[in-house]
Amino acid sequence: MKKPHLLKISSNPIEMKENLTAILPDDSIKLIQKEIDENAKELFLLGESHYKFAKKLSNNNWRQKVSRYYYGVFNVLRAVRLLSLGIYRTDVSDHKSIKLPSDFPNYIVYAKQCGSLRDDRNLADYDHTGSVGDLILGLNDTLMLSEEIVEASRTYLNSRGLNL
Amino acid sequence: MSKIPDSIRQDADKIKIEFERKTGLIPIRFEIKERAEGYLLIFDIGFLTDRFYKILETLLSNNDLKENYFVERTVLRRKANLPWLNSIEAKLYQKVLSESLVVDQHTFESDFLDRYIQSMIGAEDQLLSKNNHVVFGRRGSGKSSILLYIKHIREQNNNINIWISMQTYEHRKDNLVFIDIIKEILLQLSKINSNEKEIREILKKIKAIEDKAVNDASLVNDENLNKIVPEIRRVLAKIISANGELFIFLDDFHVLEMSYQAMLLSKIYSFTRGNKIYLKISAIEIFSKLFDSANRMGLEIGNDIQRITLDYNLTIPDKAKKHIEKIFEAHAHYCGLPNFTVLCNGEKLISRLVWASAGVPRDAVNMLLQAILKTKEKGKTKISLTDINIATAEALNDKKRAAKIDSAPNDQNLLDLLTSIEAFCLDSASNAFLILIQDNNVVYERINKLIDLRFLHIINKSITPDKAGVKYLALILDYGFYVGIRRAKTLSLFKENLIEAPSIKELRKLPKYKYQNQF
Repeated sequence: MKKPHLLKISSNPIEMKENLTAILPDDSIKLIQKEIDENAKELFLLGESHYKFAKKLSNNNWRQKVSRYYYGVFNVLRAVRLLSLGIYRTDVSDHKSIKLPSDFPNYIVYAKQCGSLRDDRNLADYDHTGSVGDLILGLNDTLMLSEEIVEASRTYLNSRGLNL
Repeated sequence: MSKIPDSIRQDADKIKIEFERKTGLIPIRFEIKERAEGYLLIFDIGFLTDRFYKILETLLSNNDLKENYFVERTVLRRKANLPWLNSIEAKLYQKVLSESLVVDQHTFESDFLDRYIQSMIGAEDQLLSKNNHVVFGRRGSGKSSILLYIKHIREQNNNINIWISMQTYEHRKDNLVFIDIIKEILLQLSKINSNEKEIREILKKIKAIEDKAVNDASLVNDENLNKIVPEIRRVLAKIISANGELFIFLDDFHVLEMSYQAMLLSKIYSFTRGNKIYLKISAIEIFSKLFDSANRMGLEIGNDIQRITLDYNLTIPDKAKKHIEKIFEAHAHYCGLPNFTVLCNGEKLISRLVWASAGVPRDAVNMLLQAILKTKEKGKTKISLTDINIATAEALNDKKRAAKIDSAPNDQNLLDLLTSIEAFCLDSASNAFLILIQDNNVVYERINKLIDLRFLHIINKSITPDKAGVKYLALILDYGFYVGIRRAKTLSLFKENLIEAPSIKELRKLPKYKYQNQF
């Protein structure tokens, strides 16, 4: 991410915005929120493009398929977390534990399932001895899960004012 | 794949057995997968919910499994198990539906709140308020469930409650009922409160009254009972002052002899009134008399106690349908099924179930359960409309049996009236009809009794088909009367598959049932 960027100022832009309400005029606060919204929207679109790409791939390219599905899901959920909790990270810890807002549908189940999807992505990307049969979720289940999460994220973000 | 070592298999078995026991999914589908980083234990469930993850998390944190290979290596996977009807999830669904038919204070224990579906009218908030309430509704309309919900919510907040199932006192009208209820209240309080000494003192005095009554029942009279009321009041006030307020739930109050109900409430009210104790009663209205106006005894609705009516009748079929769907869905998810519809052949079934059950949740659950059994008996994999029809006919027989228990034994008139209405519907080729609203008319009262017994169902509470001011009730005869009757095939079943309230125009066209004095 190139400088200058709002997401580089604070690890939690929503908290930052809230703390600035006592200092900045309303118009400036609205500008910050607009910037958060724009970034959430772009993160979602990034995730959606990975997801759409994965969907088109043949099952023979199972490694790339699983990998792109994972990044599709990961990024749409990043959009959800940014807009609802103000969480935006770029380090590896972001992959290890996905915290979702409690008003997101099925948030516990989806967060746990993302763990299995991540394990499958690791196998697909790094394990040269692995085969499609070693996947935890399998290709059909991965598609179903990704589809659900992308659509749930779209609905969630739209309900918060994003036009996706 | 290399052979899985025995020790690894044994570790998997330990977790599997515990997981099966706690989820009720037996035998759970599972796989031990070998991956580069080691073995992975995977449990397959048709639909994943928080419940399964919580169970897994709790059991894996158990100290006994500390050394187990799979403590950090067990995952859940959503996997369809086709055909659904023969799955372990459907087997559990049957069990859970069956358990839900009888609600008492132990129903679903700690899982109750997860599976509870809020009433359509949002009566929960009202019931949580510090006021006396009576919840009226037909059998199976959810009276006990809503009281139980309030109890669970209060328990979560550490509020104190007493639950009394009035079934224990069925058809009783003697003063010993009051004594038993007092004892029950005190015993339940003694378990949750430390004021044991004072509670024991009162229990001793009550026992003394009971002992005298062994030889002379007349000694359990108002004079003797009234003597202990101030003391009960005082002890309860002391307990409550340390605990906020007390709710006393009297479930199925209508089973008490009607002539005694107002008197009993009067006695209970003598120590609850103004003492931060609130009564939450469930009852079938037609079998209840909470206030005796002649003797000014009991609890007067509107003044001493507020009424909540849970009548999910067909006046709002769209809401009733949604409510029933939510109930089916909540149980389905609990069991790991994506939805109950995966068991059904076609979308129309739910509409038929709503009409057949007339929007009464327990009847709908019972019919679905029976339909599952019928379908399985036939070796089919999906429930069809025919299975629902058979279940509907059987449900009618159950209602008839229940009616014999609920209604007065000399009510041959009631059965004759029902037969007459049945014939009228066949003759007029319509299962829906209008009846003139005539309060204080004995036949009209019996019509109301047939409504409470769920042989008739209201589709509109007040309609004026012709003359201004002359109001009619729009009713349908229970669906079960038409199933399997050849002649009924000529009958046009009102709004059979449509889940929408009938229009006034449609209602006005319905045939009018005329009062016949012999009933």
